[in-house]
Amino acid sequence: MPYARPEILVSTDDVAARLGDPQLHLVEVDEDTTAYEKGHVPGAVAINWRDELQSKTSRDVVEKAGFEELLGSRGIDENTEIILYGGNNNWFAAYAYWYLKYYGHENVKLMNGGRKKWELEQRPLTTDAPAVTSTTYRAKDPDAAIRATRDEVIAQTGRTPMIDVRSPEEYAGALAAPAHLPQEAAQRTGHVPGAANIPWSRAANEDGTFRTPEELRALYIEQAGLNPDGPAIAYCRIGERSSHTWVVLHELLGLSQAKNCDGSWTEYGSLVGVPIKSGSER
Amino acid sequence: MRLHGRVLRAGLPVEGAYVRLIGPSGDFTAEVRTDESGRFLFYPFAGTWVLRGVLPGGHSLQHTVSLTEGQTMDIQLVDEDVPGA
Repeated sequence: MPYARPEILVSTDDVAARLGDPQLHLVEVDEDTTAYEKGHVPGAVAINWRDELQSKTSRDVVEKAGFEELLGSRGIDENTEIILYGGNNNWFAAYAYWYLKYYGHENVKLMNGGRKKWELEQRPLTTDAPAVTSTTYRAKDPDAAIRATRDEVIAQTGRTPMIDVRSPEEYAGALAAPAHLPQEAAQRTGHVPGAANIPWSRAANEDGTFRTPEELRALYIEQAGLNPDGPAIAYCRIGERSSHTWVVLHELLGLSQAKNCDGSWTEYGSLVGVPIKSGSER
Repeated sequence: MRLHGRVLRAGLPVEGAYVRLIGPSGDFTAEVRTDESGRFLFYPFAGTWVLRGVLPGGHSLQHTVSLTEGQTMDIQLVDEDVPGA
């Protein structure tokens, strides 16, 4: 059984073999926005998720014109093959992948295993930024079909299958954030009532690569009972880990109705008057 | 609460090791890359946790720690299997 879209995953071997190819457009997106300057895959450009993928005037993605300006400034047009990679097992690269799909970019891929696999294989890194010639990027209109809003989560509680992809400790409310971060987050801890807890990490091998199609199918379809032809909403704390799971559901398992809730727990857990469940029970 | 420490090989810090913290549930809770001093830092709660480090080249280390409320713990993950030694 193959992945639904096997072409979106590029191995570190394949990236290494293409280093120096002018058609190779690598983009690094990290939680640690200083990682790129300390060393990156040769030829890669960086996108700063905090400064460049978040609107400065509202809590939202950047508007279409800003997105076009950003991509154009990196020498990317709407036909470019983009290969994303990053730290944290590609959490933020997966977020950028979802984001690019939101604005309709067709040819986007992930380096399977991300920065961790590249580093542990002791492959080359450089501090040299590549020469980039700015271009013009034309985005499509946002694809609302892959984004779950706060209001949709509230309206669909108990109806649409929801997957909380955080750790069981966060799901239960014992941790408010991943354990490498200081514990500030939403006003309340816990999870959306009825949401299943399937940590993103169960979809990944220790080297950061995605598990096999058979393993993913067993986890989400056979064990969790998701309908391959039905809807599903993934959320986490701030929308990056849930993007990882969205890639698994939408792109690797072919659940075409899967959505990512990028507002995630920091939005839901700060709302007044919504139901919240604590502990390990759904 | 803090759980911090260093990854060492032959007494020297290892930069670029990946250290993950497995929670009392048995699932991944976080992962960090060690800095130039081989350091890592987590913010767990009281309970039993597993630290698992993978070093450049792929060698792995594991250590189980039990934390009590309010405790700060300093752990050294030492790679005894030194390549070429």
